[in-house]
Amino acid sequence: MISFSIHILTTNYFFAKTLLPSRFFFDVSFLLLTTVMLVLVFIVFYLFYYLNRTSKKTEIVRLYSDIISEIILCETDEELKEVIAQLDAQKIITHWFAEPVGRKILIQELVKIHKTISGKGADNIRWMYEHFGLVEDSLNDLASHKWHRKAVAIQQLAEMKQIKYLTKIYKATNSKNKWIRTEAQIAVVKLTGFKGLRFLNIISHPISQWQQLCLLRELVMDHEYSSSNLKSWLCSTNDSVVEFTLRLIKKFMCFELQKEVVGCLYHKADNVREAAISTLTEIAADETPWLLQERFASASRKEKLLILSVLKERGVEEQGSFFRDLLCHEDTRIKTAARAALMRIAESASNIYNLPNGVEQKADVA
Amino acid sequence: MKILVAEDEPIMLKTISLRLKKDGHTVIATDNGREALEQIEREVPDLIITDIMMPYSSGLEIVGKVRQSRKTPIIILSSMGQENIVLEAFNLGADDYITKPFSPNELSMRVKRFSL
Repeated sequence: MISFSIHILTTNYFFAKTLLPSRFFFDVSFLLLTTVMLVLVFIVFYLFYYLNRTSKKTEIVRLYSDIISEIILCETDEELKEVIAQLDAQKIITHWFAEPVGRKILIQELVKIHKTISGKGADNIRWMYEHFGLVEDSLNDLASHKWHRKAVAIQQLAEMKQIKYLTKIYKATNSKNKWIRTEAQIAVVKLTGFKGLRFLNIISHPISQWQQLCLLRELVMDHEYSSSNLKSWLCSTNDSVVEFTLRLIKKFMCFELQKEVVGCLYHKADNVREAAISTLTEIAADETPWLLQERFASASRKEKLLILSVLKERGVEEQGSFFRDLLCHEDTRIKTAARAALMRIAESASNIYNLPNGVEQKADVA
Repeated sequence: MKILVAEDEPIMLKTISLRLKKDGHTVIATDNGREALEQIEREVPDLIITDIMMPYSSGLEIVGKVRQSRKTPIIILSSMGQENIVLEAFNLGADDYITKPFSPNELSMRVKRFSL
C-alpha cells in the first residue's frame, strides 16, 4: 500500500512538473498528499474499529458459551430452572441479554449450535430461544424492509422450528427479492417437508439449479415422501418447476410417472428435456431404451450425448445396430459414447459384436 | 479416563467437555489442531475426540500423526456429507466417528465403550 502510494506520488510529481504551471505545483502536491494521508487514517481507524468489534464479540461468545452448554446438557425442567436462576445472578450476562448487539450474537450462536446438536439438547436450545423472547427479535427482522435482515430472520425461524410462523414465511416464497425467496423456500421445506413444496403451484420466478439442489437436500434429510402434486407440477408453465419436479421423480424413483417423464422429452425448454433424459435412467421401463432411440434423431448434441450415456446403462442387445451406425458419426464424442454403449451391452450380453472393418481403431484414435 | 477434545467451535467444545466431566472424565480441551498435537505429546490422553475441520492442523492430520507413534483410540466428529473424509480417517487409523448433529448423550455412550 505504502509503496503503491509512493509510486503514485512520484509519478504525479514528474507529471505535474512537466505539465502544470509552477504556481499550481505545490497546491496539487499538497492536495494529493492530504488525500493519501486521509485514506491511510481511514484504514487505520477502520482496522482499529474492526479489531475492537471482533474482540468484543469473542468476549460475548465466551460469556454465552458457559450458559448455553449448561442449558444443552439439562435433562429435566428442574435443571433448566436452576440454570436460569444462576443466570439471573450473573449481571454481566443479563446486561448483554438486554442489549440489541448481545441478543443478535446470542441468536447467531443458538442457530449455529442448533445445527450440530440433536435430541434433548436441541429442544433445550429452542426453549432458550423462546424463553428469552428471541423469537420476537427474529419476527421484527422479518417485518423489516431490508432484504438481508428479512432473509436472516427466515433462516433463524426455520432452524428453530417455529412452525407457528409458517404463514408469514410462506408469503415470502414468491418474493421479488431472490435471497428472501430462496431462504423462504428452504424454510417451508425444512418446516413441513413435501407439504412445503406447495409454493411450486404459485411461483412465478425461476428456481436456480443451486436452489433446486438445496431443496432436494433438505427433502431427503428427514421428511416423508409424498407425491400428490408431482403430476400437476410437470405441466407447470414455469420451466424450472418442471425441471425440479423431474429431479424429484429421479431422486424418489417415482416409476408411476414414467409416461409423463417421457412426455417431457419433447418439452420446449432444453433444461427440461435434459432433466427428463437423466430422470429416465432411474425410472427406466422395458420400452425406455426404444423411446430414447426414437428421440435421438431430433435431439440436440448435448441431448444426444446424454441419451447415449443413459443407453450405456439401460440399452438392450437389440439396439446393437443403432450403436454400430453411430460408430461412423462425424462427431467424435458421439462416436466414442456410442462405442462405450456398444461395448457395455456387448459385455452384459456376453456377446462380441462384429464391428465394421477399422471402426474400432478409428474410435480408439478419437 | 483422560480425554483430549479438539473442536474449533467454542460452544460445542464447552458442551462436549462439560458432558465428559459430568461423566467423571478428565478433559483437555483445545480449539485448534496444532495445540491438540502438542497436548497429545505432553498429556498422553487415553482417548482423543477431534473435529475434522480445524485451524492449523485438520482432524485427519491429527489421526495420521498420532498413528505414527501411538495406539490411542480416536473418535472423529464429522458433518453431514463428509462421508469420504470419514473413510479417509478410518484408513488413517480412526476408531469411530459421530456425525453432527449428534446428542451429547450419544457421545457419552460412545466414549463409555472405550473406557471398558
